[in-house]
Amino acid sequence: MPSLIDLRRRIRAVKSTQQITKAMKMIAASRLKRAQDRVVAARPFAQRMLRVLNSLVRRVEGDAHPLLRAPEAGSGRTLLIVITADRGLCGSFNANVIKAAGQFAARETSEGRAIALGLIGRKGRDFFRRRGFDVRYEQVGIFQRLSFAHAAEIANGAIDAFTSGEVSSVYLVYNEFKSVMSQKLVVERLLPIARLDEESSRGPTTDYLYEPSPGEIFTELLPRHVQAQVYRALLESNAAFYAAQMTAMDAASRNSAEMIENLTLYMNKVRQAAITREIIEVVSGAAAT
Amino acid sequence: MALPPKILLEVVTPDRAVVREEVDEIQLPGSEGYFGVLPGHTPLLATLKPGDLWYRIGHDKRVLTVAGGFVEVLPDHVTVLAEQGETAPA
Repeated sequence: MPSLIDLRRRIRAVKSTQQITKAMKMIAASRLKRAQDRVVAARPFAQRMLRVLNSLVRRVEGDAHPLLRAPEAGSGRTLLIVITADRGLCGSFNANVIKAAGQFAARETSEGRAIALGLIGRKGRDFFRRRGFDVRYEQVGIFQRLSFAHAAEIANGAIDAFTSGEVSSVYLVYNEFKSVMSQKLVVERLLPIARLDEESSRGPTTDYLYEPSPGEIFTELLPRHVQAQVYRALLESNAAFYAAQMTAMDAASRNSAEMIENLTLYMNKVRQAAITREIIEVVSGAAAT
Repeated sequence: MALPPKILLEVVTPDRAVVREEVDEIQLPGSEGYFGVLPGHTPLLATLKPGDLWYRIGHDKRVLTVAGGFVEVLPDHVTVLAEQGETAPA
């Protein structure tokens, strides 16, 4: 049976852990709010961009632009951009992305395509760097001051690799922010650009004047569209991270509360047992005299 | 067709919506030269170069600096998608 002092010490340890997890939960909650706002703020830009691209795509020959060209099937190299977080203590957030990336890599390899990785976030980098993958580039610590410039840099790297023929397609894997309680793992193709005319059927088409020509505007816009998509993925991942961390820390705080309760109960029992024993000793001592 | 009295100007960057206002006149830094937009302008899509964009509400003239992007002009609605946009200090 553990002594009273041992139990007290353990309770104190659990309590201080709980304080930390509680504080982390609060911090995650406030950062989540900000991250969510940014996701919402980025939406109009992406939507307008898509609308304008849709109006353009019908004026330009479909496969004219290299970013739209489909790769020859079953050949070449695939670039997978893995977006994880820089920090842990967020449940299965990073593990899920890493697992999906690993499966994706295995599938590509089995189909005869080489795989290259672009790693965003420290957790993913630490995992894949040790395992002998072909790592093209890595970005660590961008989530603290996330800006469009980061997304542009990542997107431009992918575009360069794609247009130079070094890779035949580019995929993104990241956590999408569904709600505070759940994240959705997403694997999506970034390049070649899939279908732009997703919603071209609805809405009237406007006849625009173009300055410069439609083709030139199109060429100008496509890279921006890719950048905006990467930016959105980064923002989603960032919001999802704080949501996951908040949930994880909330669970941890609740678990430690439960642990404290059990330990306190146990401690009281031990104390009561000690008191009872002492009384018996006193009584039997008195009876003996 | 009657001309719309005002234009709704929206300036959007990836981070936020910078401006959303009913204005009387806009001048934009198009990549092939500055151009002005009044209510009832014919639909136009143009790319922008980095520069100053100004707009007028009544007699009040305001200036924004935008970098990289494009603009969609409709008779009563102008949407500027810029990579960066800052209001110039007054």
